[in-house]
Amino acid sequence: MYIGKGASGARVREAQNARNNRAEIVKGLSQGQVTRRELIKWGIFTTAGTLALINGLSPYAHSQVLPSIPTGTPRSPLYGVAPFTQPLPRLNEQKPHDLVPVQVGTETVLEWKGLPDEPYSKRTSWHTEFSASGGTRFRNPLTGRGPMEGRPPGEFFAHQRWLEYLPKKGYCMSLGCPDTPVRLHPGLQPQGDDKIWSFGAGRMAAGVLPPPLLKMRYGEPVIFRHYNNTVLTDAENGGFGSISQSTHNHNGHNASTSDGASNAHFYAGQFYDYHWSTTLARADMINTMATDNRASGPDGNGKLVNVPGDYRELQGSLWFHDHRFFYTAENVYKGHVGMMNYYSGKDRGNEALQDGVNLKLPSGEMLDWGNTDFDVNLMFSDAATDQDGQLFFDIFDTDGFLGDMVMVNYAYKPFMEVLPRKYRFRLLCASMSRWYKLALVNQAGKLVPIQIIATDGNLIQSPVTVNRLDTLATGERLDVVIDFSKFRIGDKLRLVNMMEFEDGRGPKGLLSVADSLNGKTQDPGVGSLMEFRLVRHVPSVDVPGYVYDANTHRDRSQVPAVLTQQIPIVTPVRERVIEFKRGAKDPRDNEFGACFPSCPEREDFPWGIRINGEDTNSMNANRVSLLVPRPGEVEHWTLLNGGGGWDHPVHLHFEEGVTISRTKFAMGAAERGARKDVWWLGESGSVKIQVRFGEYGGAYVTHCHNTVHEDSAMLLRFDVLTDPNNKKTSQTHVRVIPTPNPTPDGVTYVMPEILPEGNPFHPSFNPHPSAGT
Amino acid sequence: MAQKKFPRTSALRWLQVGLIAITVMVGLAALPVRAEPRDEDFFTNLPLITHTGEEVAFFDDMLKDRIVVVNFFYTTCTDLCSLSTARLAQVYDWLGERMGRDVFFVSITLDPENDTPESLATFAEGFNIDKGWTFLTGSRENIDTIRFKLGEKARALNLHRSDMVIGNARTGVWRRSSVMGSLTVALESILELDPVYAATPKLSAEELAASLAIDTSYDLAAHPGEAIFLRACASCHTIGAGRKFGPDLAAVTLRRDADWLGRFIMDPDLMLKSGDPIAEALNADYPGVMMPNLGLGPADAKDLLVYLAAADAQLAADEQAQAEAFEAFEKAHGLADEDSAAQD
Repeated sequence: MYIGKGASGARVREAQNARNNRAEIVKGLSQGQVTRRELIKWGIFTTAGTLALINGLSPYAHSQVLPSIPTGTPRSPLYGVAPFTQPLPRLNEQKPHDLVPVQVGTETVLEWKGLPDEPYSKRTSWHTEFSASGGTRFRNPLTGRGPMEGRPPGEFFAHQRWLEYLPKKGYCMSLGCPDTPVRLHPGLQPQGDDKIWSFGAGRMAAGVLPPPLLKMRYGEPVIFRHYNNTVLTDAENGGFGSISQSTHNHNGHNASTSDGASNAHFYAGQFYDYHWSTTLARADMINTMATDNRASGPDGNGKLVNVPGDYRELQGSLWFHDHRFFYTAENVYKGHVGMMNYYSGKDRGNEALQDGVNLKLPSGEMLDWGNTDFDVNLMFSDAATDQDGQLFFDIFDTDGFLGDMVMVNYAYKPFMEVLPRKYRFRLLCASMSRWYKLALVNQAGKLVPIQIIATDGNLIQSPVTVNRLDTLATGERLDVVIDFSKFRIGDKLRLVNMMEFEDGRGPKGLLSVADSLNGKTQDPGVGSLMEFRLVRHVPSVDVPGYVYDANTHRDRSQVPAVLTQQIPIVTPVRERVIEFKRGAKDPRDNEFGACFPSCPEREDFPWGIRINGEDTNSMNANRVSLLVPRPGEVEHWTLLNGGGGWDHPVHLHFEEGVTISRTKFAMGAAERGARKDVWWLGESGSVKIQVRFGEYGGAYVTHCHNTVHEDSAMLLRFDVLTDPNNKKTSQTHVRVIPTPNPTPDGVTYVMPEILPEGNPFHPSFNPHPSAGT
Repeated sequence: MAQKKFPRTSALRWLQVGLIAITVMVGLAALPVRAEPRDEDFFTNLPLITHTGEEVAFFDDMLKDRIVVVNFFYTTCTDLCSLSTARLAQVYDWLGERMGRDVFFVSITLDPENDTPESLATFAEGFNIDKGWTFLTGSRENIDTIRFKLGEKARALNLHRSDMVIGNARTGVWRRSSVMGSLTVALESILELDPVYAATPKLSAEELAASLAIDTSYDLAAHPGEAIFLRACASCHTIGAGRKFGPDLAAVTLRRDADWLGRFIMDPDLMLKSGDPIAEALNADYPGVMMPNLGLGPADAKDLLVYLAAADAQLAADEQAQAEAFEAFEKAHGLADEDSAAQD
């Protein structure tokens, strides 16, 4: 990001010239040889009084010597704001509405209690009735164009297993611009109109920061009704962000309609009902009669509600974010993001209740479930602003976006007051291209051990104690327990990031803790990100008004030695090799023109994903690259990074994979056998996973979660078919679904094509490809 | 290079003499100006040369006030560029009278050392391009500066991006899109840059009703070759509908040896390089258009040949049926002999 040690002599001279030139101008100014007004007229000064970035004047201007290397980015102005001077904001906990079932003809629909103006929620989209009326009824009330619900019409996008997982609660939220300007820190500039589009509660409501937190539980399916309250034309977007968006539940076990990544985006004035079913995976195969009380949710009264499915598939820390193809990076950055905790009998967010199932992990005990006093969501992301302090994003920066300001819960480097006891933190990397390698240090700079209990929201078999956490790449989550009881009131600890970046292609490397703390890097994202302060009194979040006193509070939480059971690795029905690549295989191809005019070997496609060593394809929402023909079959996937100086965290939608092995890089401390949904591959590395699909069908995706790479087509669609012999599952999704093509006037469908190499029905399909393609 | 432009002697003196010119020339202010569309300060007015040999200032002559599609290619590209140019040519056809009026395509070579205006002109002719689509070359330095501005930062020719930049320089809306996916979606993404188009309702009641009735049930094992043909071949070839950018493939399975066809489908670039006489003759017949390497394997080639053979059989059957129908018609009306004579 900044002019580094390895820069060429010419580049260093150029930067030095720039500094000299600037110094001379400043000198001329002070001596009256040239007026500020003249400089502004000439375009050298901005009206804010800062020196404009003209090559030869600013060391941060893009180099003329070697355009291939982004030599410098201007630092975001901090207006004198010091780190750790604002308290950590908690994510905004949302209160759901009750949904009341009503019979309309043969369908069960849901009325929103307390919200009489809300159209009822139903199995098929309101778009169906809009289309059937020739576009005359149920129109978008804001524009009069298109349907009021953006969910595509008909059975393909109907909610699956509607009656079986009938929603009981509803969140009615809008994505929009905050009506009072928000700041990343009280000392930083307020963000201008349409710089932020975030979620706020209510219909066509203004956005709010910090982002929302949904507390959900097994056995209580919800409707997430999302109104698009952005703007009508792209030109009004404040510089970045798309006017049509869609929300991905990362990584709930839902039908593709509610996964949010099947090209079903929608426009201002419309809503979309997502059915977030809280289905426990393997509900059709294991514990189908719901007799195992380890597969359960909290009932609110100290008891359990059993659900069908495999308790080893329970999920905990999830998040949701935009998944509009081509625009995901800018939309998430702009504020389309939130977290959700799924609570279960085993992990109910109550550290005191004893029922033989509850793990009693640190959380609190005021509420029956979902205590957050000692169970804290921490969302890490990075931002950059322009010289006016306004959020900045550049669509022309295609390597990946790195901000120089690290935020937690959208607050610049906050502090948090804690009691001397155990806390659980749910860490999430919500950055576009920046990853984190975190450690906790005390005032002496010494490492403090942390226990890892879950990866990507899934409990690991036994807790692992580490001094440095496993890498947290974009989309990854780590649930950790920190025991502050060993410290005294007044002590301070800091979370330190040691992972250094130079550009958005992938991490440059790891620094030592000492070097990270001392800032021995050009990367402003390295170093202390957050401070914990040991205090005696902490107010409760769960019961507002109550204040904990360290002298009287008793920590009844525990971290059991066994958290769950391992899902065994078995012989797969089929294997697949999925290569994420942007790189030439042949080192002769590396430099521009080196083997011009024609390389001796077949040239590679630059971006994309390759299946079983066949053709590399860039993203096409209308192309089915993988077909999962039958639910329940075990597959092994090798996720491979083609290298070329790039790194990719790969995300699998809908199901978690059991991590089997890695090549080129060592497994993380908590990684072996861990259920995950994002794996960083490492340059030229690979990860092998075991996956199994079931319960729902439709179109899903797997992709690089460096959202800038994802927007550049590093994404593939896979379709999961339902079982025609299982009448519980959708009988529409026994076949491939058509691709929706949304417009402000409504959605039409196009027929997908299916790649032979991903289609087990095709005669050329190879069920056992070799990885070394 | 920079030293030449920015003498170290006296920045102030330099400021006073040539400042405005240099601001325009270099124009690399990296700060986004809020609410102001990006202009020559961002895109630069560096001089480039068109396929007709004209020198243009990049922003003022190519982008200003226009809806534009900008992509990168090189004429000897053996992989994606020819395919994406062919697919973009389909969108070009659909845009019809808008091309050269308010929508403009700009294709910039990544290989300015070898792509002369003449070779660009040949390339443009190969794709039947006239108004509204400009192919550009220029100095390596200028091309590099502009491609970096547009996010094309590839460090090797064959690592170039497959997507394109689309934008409306008047409104300042800039986006990325791709012709490697659905061409309909690509067309819409370009048209949506026009505020008037975006504000005009489009879907009819019939189209809405048709989408409700869509049925995706088809035999998953059938016609894999058709999918490949549509994805990889149809942008340049027809089967029996005439010459497009490459030969009409009607009866190709009869005209050519199956083994040769298979090899050519998989490795056209290598066949040409190795001096295969048919490949060379074809290349000479279609100047500017090079059959790209589409990364197809033996199974794909086999699927394609099966599909092409089936299409030929269908064509032959159709012709036969038409001939028989015509003969029956003539016989029924007692016209058989006189009519064919009269036509001559």
